Amino acid sequence: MISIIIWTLQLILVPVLSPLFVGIVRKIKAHFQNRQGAGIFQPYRELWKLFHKDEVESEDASWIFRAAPYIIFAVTIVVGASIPIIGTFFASRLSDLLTIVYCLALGTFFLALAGMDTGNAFGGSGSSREMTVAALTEAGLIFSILALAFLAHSTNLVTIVQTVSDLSLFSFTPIILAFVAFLIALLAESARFPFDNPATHLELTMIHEAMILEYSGKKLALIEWASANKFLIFLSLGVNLFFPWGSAASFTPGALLLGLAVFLLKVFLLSAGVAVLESSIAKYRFFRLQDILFTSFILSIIAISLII
Amino acid sequence: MNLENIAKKYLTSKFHLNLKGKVISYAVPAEEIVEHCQKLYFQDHLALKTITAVDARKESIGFKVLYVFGIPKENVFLIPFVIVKDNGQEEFPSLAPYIQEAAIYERKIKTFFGLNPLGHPDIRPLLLHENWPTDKFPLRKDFAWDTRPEDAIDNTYEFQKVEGEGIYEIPVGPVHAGIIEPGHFRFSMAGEEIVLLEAKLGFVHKGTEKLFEVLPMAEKVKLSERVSGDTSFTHSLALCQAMESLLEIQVPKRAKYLRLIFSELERLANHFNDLGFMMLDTGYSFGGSNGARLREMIMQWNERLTDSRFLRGVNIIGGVTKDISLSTRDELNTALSTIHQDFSEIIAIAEESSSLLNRLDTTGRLDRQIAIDYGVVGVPARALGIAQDARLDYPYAAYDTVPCPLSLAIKGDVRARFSVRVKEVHASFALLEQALNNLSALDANFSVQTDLTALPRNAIAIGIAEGWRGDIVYTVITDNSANITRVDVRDPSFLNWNVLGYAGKDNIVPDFPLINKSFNLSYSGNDL
Amino acid sequence: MEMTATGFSRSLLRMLKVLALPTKILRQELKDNSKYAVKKYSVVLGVKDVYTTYFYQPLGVVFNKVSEYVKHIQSGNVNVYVFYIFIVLIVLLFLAV
Repeated sequence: MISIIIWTLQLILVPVLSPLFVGIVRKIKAHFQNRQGAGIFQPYRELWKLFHKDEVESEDASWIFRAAPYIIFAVTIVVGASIPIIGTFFASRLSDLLTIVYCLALGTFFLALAGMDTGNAFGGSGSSREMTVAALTEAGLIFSILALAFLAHSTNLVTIVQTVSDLSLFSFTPIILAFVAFLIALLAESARFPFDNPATHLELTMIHEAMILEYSGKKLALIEWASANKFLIFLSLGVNLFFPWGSAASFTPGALLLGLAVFLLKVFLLSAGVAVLESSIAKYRFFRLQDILFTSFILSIIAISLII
Repeated sequence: MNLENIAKKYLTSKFHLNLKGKVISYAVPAEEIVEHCQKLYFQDHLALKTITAVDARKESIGFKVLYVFGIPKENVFLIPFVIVKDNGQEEFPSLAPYIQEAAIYERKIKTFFGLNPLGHPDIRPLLLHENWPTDKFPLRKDFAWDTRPEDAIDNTYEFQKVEGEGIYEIPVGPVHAGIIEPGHFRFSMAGEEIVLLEAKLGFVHKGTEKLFEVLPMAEKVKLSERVSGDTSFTHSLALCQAMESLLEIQVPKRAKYLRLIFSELERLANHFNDLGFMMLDTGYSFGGSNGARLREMIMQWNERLTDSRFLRGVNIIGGVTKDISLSTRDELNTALSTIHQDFSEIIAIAEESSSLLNRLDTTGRLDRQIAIDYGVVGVPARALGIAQDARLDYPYAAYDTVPCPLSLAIKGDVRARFSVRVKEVHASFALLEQALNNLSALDANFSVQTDLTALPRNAIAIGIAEGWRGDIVYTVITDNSANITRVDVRDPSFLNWNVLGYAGKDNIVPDFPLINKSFNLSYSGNDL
Repeated sequence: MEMTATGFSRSLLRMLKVLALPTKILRQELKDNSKYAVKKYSVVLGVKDVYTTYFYQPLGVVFNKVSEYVKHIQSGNVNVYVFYIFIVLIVLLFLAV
């Protein structure tokens, strides 16, 4: 009985919390610009508004355009339910490194197709840029978590969390290197600086936003929500895999509450770090991005070689 | 040097010269005009300021095509003109194959007057789109300003195509995603690289030049403020200077100083806006929001001094309408030094951001020879090291007594245009401080009464002022009955739009908004 | 006005230009009486074919040279060919022993 409640909580935690962290990042960025900014619950209001709006669909749209938002959102729900968030009790087949990464890649694939579907010139450019960045990010992402997998002798994320929380301080250097590599992959996959500017109005520079230009109403709400979910998924992977102390190992209410509080605190710190990064640098030139992504890959290789 | 000596220096004696004010005008036979203009342009190194036409058929002369050449240090203008007879075949020899600058003026003359430049390489219609019938010419006198012709249905506009497998075109605009003026850009892309960029403008064409002929005098000054909204003061300044030169009025010294002060305030507000937006377009939101904040501070001072954020309603023929009292002057001085300090700190922080500088360096580089050939003026020209500034070459208002430093850069990329604007801001602050200090020693009247009916007959006057984008040239022509028959407006954007395609080539398309913003050209000033 | 396949992949090829070696040839034909008015633009986008240039072509050249050299054996005289067969027969008999 309790496990059903906990499981439901795990399932809805990512979709419910993700707009909050988007709002927190925006608020911190606004303060850096000497502005008040909208409240941290504003993304919830935006989603509510979009769900109540009419949709306009192009005549040239095919089934991919109509199905893509659902596929993308479903993927983020499934992945959000399988990663260790509060605790390490739900070890399932889905909590595997490669499964997670390629489920998310399925979402990216359909998003890129939907961007090209209506023949919109900006959508095509956005899809091209997204695929280029995703192809190069994949290496850094997988290898950074693989470094931890070598430590834990398993690619199951729950096993990794349990192993890393038991480690002594000596083996921490490779974990930090792998975390930096993972951070770069996080910024790339969530369309944040220096890869993409989520607040831009310039359609010629957009990557993620360009692919969703044709969407409106409920489908747009699903895609925006899915993008917030993806951000929270990456944040939780970052804090739980690399700094897993405090996550609940059992079903006792005390451990669960502590796990939730520690999780919220860690994710808040990491998202604040992302907001500070976004406020202090300019977006990189598009053909400099491969340098950062290769750096991410090399750092993970170094981390792996230190571990082996 | 007076006008006769200047005429003797540049012209042979066979021309019948008409000397008035700062203008030497003379008729040249059509067969000799190309060679004559080439001599003035290439050998004497005079600047071609504008080419315009006027419909003088009522006086049985035909059409006149005027070529305005400026002699920089003397502040004098040489205007040879060609008479085109109204005999069914209105043609004149084209200067475009020899002087590239002339091409865009001749295209405009063809579209608006119907005079055909013989030998012009690219005679597509300019500013009037495909729905305008090609046999109606708006600036001719027989076309009433409120005519609405039927839409033409068969015209097509040919964009330049790039042949090749895998090249695709992106049309951007005229409705853009941000709140900017409408303009259409056609990119031919090879992946992310721009192979070709062509701009098509004319979406904000308002028929301003025709309205200038129809409106009464006070309304003319008001209309000139609406040509390009962010350069209201300098446009009306150029028109008022042209009119004052025509009426031979001497503006009081206080008015000249006030005109300098307001002109520099306008320059500051716009440069802050530009710098902020350039940084925002790279994603550097710190610089973006602070640029907007500084601009707002200047705009609020504008409103306090003149009741208008854009300094509208300040210029009149004979002076200005608003004064700066002593106490306001002291407050303005303190406020300006605070803003100057603020600005210096922001730019110091921005120039330490290596990610920002990496975006700005080598992006959108304009080739120097192309800029010289196309006659680029203003900030993009100074960013290539081309030393031209109307405040130094043709001093007006109080710029002859308050020296203006020249702000130059070398590379001609976005970073150079950024640093030229930064230098100009510093120069403006210095000018403002000096002008405000000199203001107290002058006597109090800031405008003179003018008799607007005492216009001379058959006269041409040129008013030139350095707006924040570049120099603005107004040509005012009167006819035999002492009425103003033509006002030609040449905004600096009219020349600079033609080189945007060259600056954009070989860059990647995500850098294009930054390049466009680094030029920041006026759509409305181009379209009139 | 739609994205083309060449355009879609061009960014990735340019990012990995050390391996993929993309090439671009740009040609412009000017109109007669002007330095700047262009009559025709054409662009050819391609990828440098590394295997043909650096592997198969040198290999072909080597093979050709060797064949030139070996051509001297082909004299056209049938008796010489019978003599070659005889030599090979003797060598094989020696090796079989």
